[in-house]
Amino acid sequence: MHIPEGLLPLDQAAGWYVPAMAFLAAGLAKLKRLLKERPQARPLVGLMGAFVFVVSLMPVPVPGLGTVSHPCGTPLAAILLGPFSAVALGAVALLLQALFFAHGGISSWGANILSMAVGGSFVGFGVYWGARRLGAGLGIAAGLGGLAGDLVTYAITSFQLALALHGHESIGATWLAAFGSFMPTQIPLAIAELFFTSGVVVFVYRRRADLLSGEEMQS
Amino acid sequence: MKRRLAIATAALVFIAAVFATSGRWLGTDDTVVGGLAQKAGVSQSRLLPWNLTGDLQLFVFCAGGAVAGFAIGYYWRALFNPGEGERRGANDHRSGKQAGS
Repeated sequence: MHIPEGLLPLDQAAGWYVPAMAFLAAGLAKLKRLLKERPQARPLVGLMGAFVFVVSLMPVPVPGLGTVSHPCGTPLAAILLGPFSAVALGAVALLLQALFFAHGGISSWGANILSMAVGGSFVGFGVYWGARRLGAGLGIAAGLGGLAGDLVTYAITSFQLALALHGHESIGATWLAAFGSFMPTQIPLAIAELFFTSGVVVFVYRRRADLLSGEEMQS
Repeated sequence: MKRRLAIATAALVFIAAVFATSGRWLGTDDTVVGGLAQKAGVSQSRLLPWNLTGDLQLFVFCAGGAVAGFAIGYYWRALFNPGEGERRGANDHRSGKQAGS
C-alpha cells in the first residue's frame, strides 16, 4: 500500500498531509500522556513500534498466486495501546520506510499515514470495540479488528490512487479496479492478520492483563 | 505441545506451498500501484539523494529486520519475563551460598 514518490499531484499530496499531521500531533500527545500515566506500558510501546515497522515492510508471499504483499500491524497496536498511539507508531514506521527502505515517499507520507496508520488503527480498534460491545469474545473481536483494519488500509490507498490517477475514467471505477486488484493478494494476508491479531491479544491478556487497561477483558 | 505441533505443521505446509508456486513474486506496490501509474502516464520520482541499488537494498532490509527483531525480543522479554533476571540472580546467590557452606 506504500504510495511511492511522485505519483500523487502536489495539491493532493499536500491535502493528505493536513489531516495526517493533525492525527500525528494528537497521536504523539496521547502517546506522551500514556507513557507518563502508565510507565509499565513503555516496553509495550517499544515492542509495538518495532512490530509495526517490520510487519508493514515484510513482503509475505501468497502461495498459489505468486505475489507478495504485507500486513499492517496497526490494528494490533491500536487494540493494545489505543488508536491515537498506534497512529504515532505507524507514522514513524512509514517515515523510516520512506527515508531508508525505498518504501513510500516523503511527498506521499501524509497519504500513507492516512491509509495505514489512521485507517488501520481506527477501523481496527473500532471494529474490535464494537464487537466487544456486541458480546464477542476477546479473540474473535481482536481478530475481526485485525481483518477490518488491514482491508480498510487498502481501500483507502485505492481511493487515494483513484483520485490521483483516474484520468478519463471515473474515480469510482478506478477505485474499484485498484481495490479489486489488491484483493486476491490482500485477502489471504488479512485473514493471516486476523489470526495473528487474535492470538497476540489473547496471549497478552493471559500473561499480562494489566497491559490492557480500560477494557473489560473477560474472554 | 499440540499447539506447537499445529503451528509447525502449518508453517511447513505454507513453505511447501510457496515453493510449489511458480510466480514472479512481485509486490502489489509494483503490480497494482505501478500498473495504475503506467496507465495514467505517471512515473515515480525521487526526492531523496540516495538510492538503494543492487544488494544495498538487501543489506538495508536485513539490517532493518535484524534491529527490529532484536528490539522485539528485548521488549518481549521485559514484558513477559520480567523476573527472569531476578530469579537468575537469586539462583546464583543460592548456589554460591551452598558452595560456600
